[in-house]
Amino acid sequence: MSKVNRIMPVALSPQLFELSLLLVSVLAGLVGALLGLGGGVIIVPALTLLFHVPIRYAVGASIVSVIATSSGAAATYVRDHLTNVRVAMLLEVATTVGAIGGATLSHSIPDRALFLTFALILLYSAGAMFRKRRETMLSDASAPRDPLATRLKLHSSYPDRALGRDVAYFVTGVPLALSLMLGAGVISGLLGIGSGALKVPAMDSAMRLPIKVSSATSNFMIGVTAAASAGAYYMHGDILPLLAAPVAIGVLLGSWAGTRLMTRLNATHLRKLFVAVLLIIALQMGLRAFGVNIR
Amino acid sequence: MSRATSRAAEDADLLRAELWISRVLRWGVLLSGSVIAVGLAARLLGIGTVHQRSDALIAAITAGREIAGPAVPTGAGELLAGLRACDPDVVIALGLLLLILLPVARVGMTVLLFLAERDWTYLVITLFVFSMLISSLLLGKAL
Repeated sequence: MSKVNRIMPVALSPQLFELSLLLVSVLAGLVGALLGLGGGVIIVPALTLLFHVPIRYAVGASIVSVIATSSGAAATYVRDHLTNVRVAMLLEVATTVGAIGGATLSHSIPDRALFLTFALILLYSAGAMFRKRRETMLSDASAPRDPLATRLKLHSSYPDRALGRDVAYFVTGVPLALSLMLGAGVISGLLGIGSGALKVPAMDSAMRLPIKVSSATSNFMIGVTAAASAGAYYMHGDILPLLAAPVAIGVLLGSWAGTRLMTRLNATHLRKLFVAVLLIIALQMGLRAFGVNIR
Repeated sequence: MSRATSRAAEDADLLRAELWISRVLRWGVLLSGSVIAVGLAARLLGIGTVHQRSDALIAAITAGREIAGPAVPTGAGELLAGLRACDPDVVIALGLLLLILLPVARVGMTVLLFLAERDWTYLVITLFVFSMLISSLLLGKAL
């Protein structure tokens, strides 16, 4: 035991260690909710870079917190009639298969590959956040309907508060969306993140869903996708109670507060600041992939 | 036109049912969060018996080392035995497991919903998703 203590970089008491994990997780949940990212994008780098935890435990703790935030918030999106339940269920076919594949893959590829993939996803997220999302080009209402989407009853409408009326939309590109979602599922299962940043564009551009509908539907799906890999991680024994407990509670508290703050806060400036933070984290995760440790 | 109206009514029913499920899920999150918090508090206050001391465990993982064997008991028998022995890790594990099973329950309830609606296409779709979630639990054990 004394040998173990000498290896530890900073000797924190268990209570202090858990408290600092909790605080970092509250922050991750808060920022994640404010920016529309999940907490996972912040939790995994925090656990590996700050606390030097093995990445598979970081991923295990993070994926549980992803379920907590998604399941806690789903009611809000469903209530506002923005979620397309059928689209969600259909795409979950692809995301769950992908997530299981990702969880399996994570046990057979080297940690360095995980760090590198994470760095790339962070770069992508930073880019996606920097670009302003344009309103989706909705399908022409007079154009012939996509027969597959019609057969699957995916066309629907949503209440637009700004316009004060229901807006009908027509879904297309089901096969493309399914294959993109398979990829999003793999990334979610591999890295322990919700990967909403990958799901939303797939629905915007492939299926031509209105932005509000794709955001709400993505949030609805994230919990189910995360459960598919979390189940595998749990049963494999990668979810450490001492890590996952403060992370789950912290992220839950943080995202709860963040959702309430969001309506009162202008996130534009925060967004720009956070693009810089994401780039720094991406760099550090990338460096870890090549064996460079900055302590 | 009447087909469009019935589709809209069908969608509204579906959303109403999913809203109910979502609200149940939110209570589930609250419950599992409380169970996890109780277990964590017990762990840090030294209540109950643990397999490995917190300081040794934290020292090992913050040194970047993986611990030997699974981090939590996974079998029902082991979980029950741990609970009887007042192992705080098992209390946390039960809370985490409950959290992981919430989306599984959501999909399970949606399966029943489509069964009641006699919507066979979506019954097959949701059953497939449900079976994926169950098999992920089995797969983790085999990995």
